[in-house]
Amino acid sequence: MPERATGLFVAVGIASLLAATSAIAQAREDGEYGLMVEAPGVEETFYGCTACHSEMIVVQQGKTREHWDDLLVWMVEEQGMTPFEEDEREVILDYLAEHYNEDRPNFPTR
Amino acid sequence: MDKRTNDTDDGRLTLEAGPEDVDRILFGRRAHADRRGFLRGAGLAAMSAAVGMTIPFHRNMPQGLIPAAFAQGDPLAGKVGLTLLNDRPVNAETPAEFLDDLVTPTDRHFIRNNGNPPESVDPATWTLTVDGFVDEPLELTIADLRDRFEVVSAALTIECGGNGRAFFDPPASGNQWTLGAVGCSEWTGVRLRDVLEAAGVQSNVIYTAHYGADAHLSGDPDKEPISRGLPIEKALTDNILIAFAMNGADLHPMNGAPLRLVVPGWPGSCSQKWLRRIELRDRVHDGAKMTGQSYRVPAFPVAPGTDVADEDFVIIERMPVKSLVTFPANGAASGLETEVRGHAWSGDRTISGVDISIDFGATWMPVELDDPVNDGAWQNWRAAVSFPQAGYYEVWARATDSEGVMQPFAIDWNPKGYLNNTMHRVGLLVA
Repeated sequence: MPERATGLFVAVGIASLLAATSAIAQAREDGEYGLMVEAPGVEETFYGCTACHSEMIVVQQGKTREHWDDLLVWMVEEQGMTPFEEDEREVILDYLAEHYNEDRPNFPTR
Repeated sequence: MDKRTNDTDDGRLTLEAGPEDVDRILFGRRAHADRRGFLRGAGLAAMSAAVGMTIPFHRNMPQGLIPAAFAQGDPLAGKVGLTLLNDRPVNAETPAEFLDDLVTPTDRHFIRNNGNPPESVDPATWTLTVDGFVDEPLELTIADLRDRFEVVSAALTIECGGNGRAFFDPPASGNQWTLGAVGCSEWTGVRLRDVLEAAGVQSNVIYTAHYGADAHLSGDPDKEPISRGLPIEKALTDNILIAFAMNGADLHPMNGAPLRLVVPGWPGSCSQKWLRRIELRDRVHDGAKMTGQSYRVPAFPVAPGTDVADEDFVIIERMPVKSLVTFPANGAASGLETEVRGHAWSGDRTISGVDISIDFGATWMPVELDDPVNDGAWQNWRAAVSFPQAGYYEVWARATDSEGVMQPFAIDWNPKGYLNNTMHRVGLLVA
């Protein structure tokens, strides 16, 4: 694991990020897929997720591929989600792991 | 197209959207070339759940036609200045500077939903069932509650267990609350203790289970979005209300109208909204979001990023000591002299002192601190601050509670991002 800053210094960075503007939804302009980054896999991901919940909760997250995988398992096992087809599932996991990973490259500014 | 603007007067998110936009936002339903979007993203289950029944002729409903029963476009109607984190389910927090009131106005109280709120919330017909290991099961209307029990009002602090999650690194799963998933409104209702004692708490009871009328996101009527509970010793304390009014008026629909629990100082999830039933159990409750890793932290400190097995988690009980600076706002301009003020609270405890620093923690000064207006309320504080010269400053606030516990500098990282009670820091441009 890379060296971790303490929570305090982490807080400074994210706080400034978060404080930049006032509303997450300001960033939610007229994108075809709401707040989701347009990239390969976005269509499958957007429709797969928004069948049950907003994409707004998705784009706030920063997870490894393994943790995204765990979350999909939880949704099926605990939350009654209809499982994705395997190839579609891979596309969705690839998309999420690339664009919504722990580095938070697309964390919504607000 | 989805068009949203931010109202410059009050920062409130407003929708400038036609029915098609509302359809997509609320139900994820939109037309798509191959109809897959319409069907897959249809959210038909969610729409049915919201309406409260299946929609037999749904295939005839044009995209954009919102059921008349659910024709509400603004997820933050009746709220002012909140930041929308999620619109389905609705979750919104209050920027710290909008929490400046001594008692939180209804339009400033945060919203944390796990499912879709019920559509039918008629206070005249609403009933609360109390059952399980009781001598006499009760079914009470809100009028019954008013008639049979002492009606009390109290300012009570509710804070989401995940408030502050946004600052976790590595990130923790869930709504990325920053500072504002907390409020202290005046709630009116009857004491949970009085109602439980009227039902007769049997000697084998160790836990409560709370059930609400909100619907699971999947639309499955057999699933609860959330059902949490309390150890019976906690449930029988004095300051827990079954509330039917908020700041002297009806509860806000997103804050649980017409009936909810208010459990001050414990994770907000204990304060079941749209309360329909309280069951007394002879074992710890195992409802939705009681088990696994929900509202739980590891039983021992872990390094950031650690995967922790479910069995090593323990249920969160009281919330830790914390404070907020509500004036001035972060990033504000200030003169050389200013008042600084805010609130401080600690679950099941009081605050013995709040200190502030304007020099990055090198020196500290005590503030003027009020007693809580009642048990379970946050405490208001204020200080007059003089800055030695123009420049950039940060005001840091650090509360100490009645057990001598202070707010920490750094986050005690846990996998689900709970209990971040690190000091609030407000940057000021002093000129």
